[in-house]
Amino acid sequence: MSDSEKYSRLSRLVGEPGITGAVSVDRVVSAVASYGMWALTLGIIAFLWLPLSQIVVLSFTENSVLFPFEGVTLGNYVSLFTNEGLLAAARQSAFVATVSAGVATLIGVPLGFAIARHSFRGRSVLRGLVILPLLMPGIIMGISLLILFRVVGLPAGFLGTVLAHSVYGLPFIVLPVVARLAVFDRNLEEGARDLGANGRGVLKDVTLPIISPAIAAGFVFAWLRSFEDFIRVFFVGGTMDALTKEMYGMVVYSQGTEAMDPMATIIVLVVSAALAVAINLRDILEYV
Amino acid sequence: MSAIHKLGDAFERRGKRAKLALMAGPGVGWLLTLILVPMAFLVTVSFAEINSSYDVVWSFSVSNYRELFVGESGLLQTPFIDSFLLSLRIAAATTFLTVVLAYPVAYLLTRLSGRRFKLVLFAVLVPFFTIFIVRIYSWLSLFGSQGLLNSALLATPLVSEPLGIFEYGIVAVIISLTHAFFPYMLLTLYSSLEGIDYGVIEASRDLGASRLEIAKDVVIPLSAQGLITGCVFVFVPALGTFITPQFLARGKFTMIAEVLTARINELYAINYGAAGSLFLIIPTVIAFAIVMRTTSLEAMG
Repeated sequence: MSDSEKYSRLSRLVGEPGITGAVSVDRVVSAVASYGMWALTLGIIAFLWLPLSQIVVLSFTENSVLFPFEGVTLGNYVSLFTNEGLLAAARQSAFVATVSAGVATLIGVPLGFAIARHSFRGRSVLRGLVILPLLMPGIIMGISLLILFRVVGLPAGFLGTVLAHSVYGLPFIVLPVVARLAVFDRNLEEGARDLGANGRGVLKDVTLPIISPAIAAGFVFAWLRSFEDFIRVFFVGGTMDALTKEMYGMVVYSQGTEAMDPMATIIVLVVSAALAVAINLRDILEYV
Repeated sequence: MSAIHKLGDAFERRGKRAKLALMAGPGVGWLLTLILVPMAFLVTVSFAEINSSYDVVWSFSVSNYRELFVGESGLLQTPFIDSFLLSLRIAAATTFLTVVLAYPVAYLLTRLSGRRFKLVLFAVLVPFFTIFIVRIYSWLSLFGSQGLLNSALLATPLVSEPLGIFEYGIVAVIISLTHAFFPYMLLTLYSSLEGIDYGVIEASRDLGASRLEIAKDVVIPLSAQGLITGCVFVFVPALGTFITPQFLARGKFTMIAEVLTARINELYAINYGAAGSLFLIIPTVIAFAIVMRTTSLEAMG
């Protein structure tokens, strides 16, 4: 029995009303605190969901305010699916996100291995440097890359955006890989080698399968970050289509806003479904 | 050792170094050319000027900084400084709110398991994975005098005219930022609370500590690292936020990112923008130093 178990057994015994004969004040306090915590949590969940659920409701109503209520319609969805510009922008953003997350993965996985497995000069500096794209406000990355691209003569557009988003996504790949490799049981690799596997075989059949969930989660994060980015693509994207730029324009200039609610609804539903699957499949918190 | 052995060793070392260079090279190159070099450029350009054909003139000048600090009505009386101070206050309020709201939820999460844990986690994470602009947009129709909050209240006999607190403005911006950044705080707090041995809490309870004392003397100090990291990851992005005030301040005030964007977009004053950016780079660097001191990279996965 571990010490903590002993302590908890002991405390249960001592705290048992039957033994001490009175309900301790601390128990009442703890019950109140526990209910309070639940109440607060449910309140916060309501707060988190209020705007999202409102969007889902509004996507089916005639006018974009709920009061006065003017009836239910699918017209908003029709205007979404006939809004070619918005759909094209969504496709372009998905494409940019896929390429950027792919590049980040190709660069980030080996970098994660180098940081986790090798000792070299400047390693600790590099470990720090990796989180910088995550911490840096988007507007700084946008402005600084705009200036860099201007100086080297790279026109704003697809290439610039992919470069920006691939470095933005790098921490989402490197950090989970490093974290995963830190708890990795290297005896597994040792064993595989003893059983006659060569370096390539060990990597392919032992190491990669174990860290691949971390890589996959990292890819999804990097993809989402690219897909939802506005300010970087605003500065380095030039005239290239992007979903967020399109949505921003719709809101700021109040044009075609009836397509906003259905678009947002679809995004919320897709995210909910994907997340429900992910949470049920495995402990996703390991990769956040 | 024979010459051949030495040669073999040298080759092996070389091979190792070449392998390392191959693995880390692209990543290092990416970080250098797309993060560090641009930042260095930014600092340099902030001391340069722009000529009439919008090219950077490489001559030393502090006029960009003078423009930031010295206004027509005196020192520090510029729209930029006003926006910067306001942005600092908004980011601080947002950080404070996320801490207050996230702590109990994070603690509750560590005490849950199975179905309940999954449900709470799901409920909290869906908004987090919904793209940022949608999260901010979703507050747009809730706030405002025509907004859902006010019109719902007007439909009741309680109020007769739209409430000012639900108008667009600073409250709307802070609430939607808190909504947007809450999960960052929750997840960092959760992962640090998760690491606390519950036995320590039980032991201190057995030794007679009250709930408040346990929170103050045990839980908060043990989760301080996560708290600091969470604060940094909420404060810095909140400081540099652009879309949120654009949507929800409705021109009542401007935050620092809007001032910079407007100058760059409308006047192509990238030198002025660069000088102003330093006010976001400096907090970033400070935040970076804090995170480096308090957090190990392995814990950040």
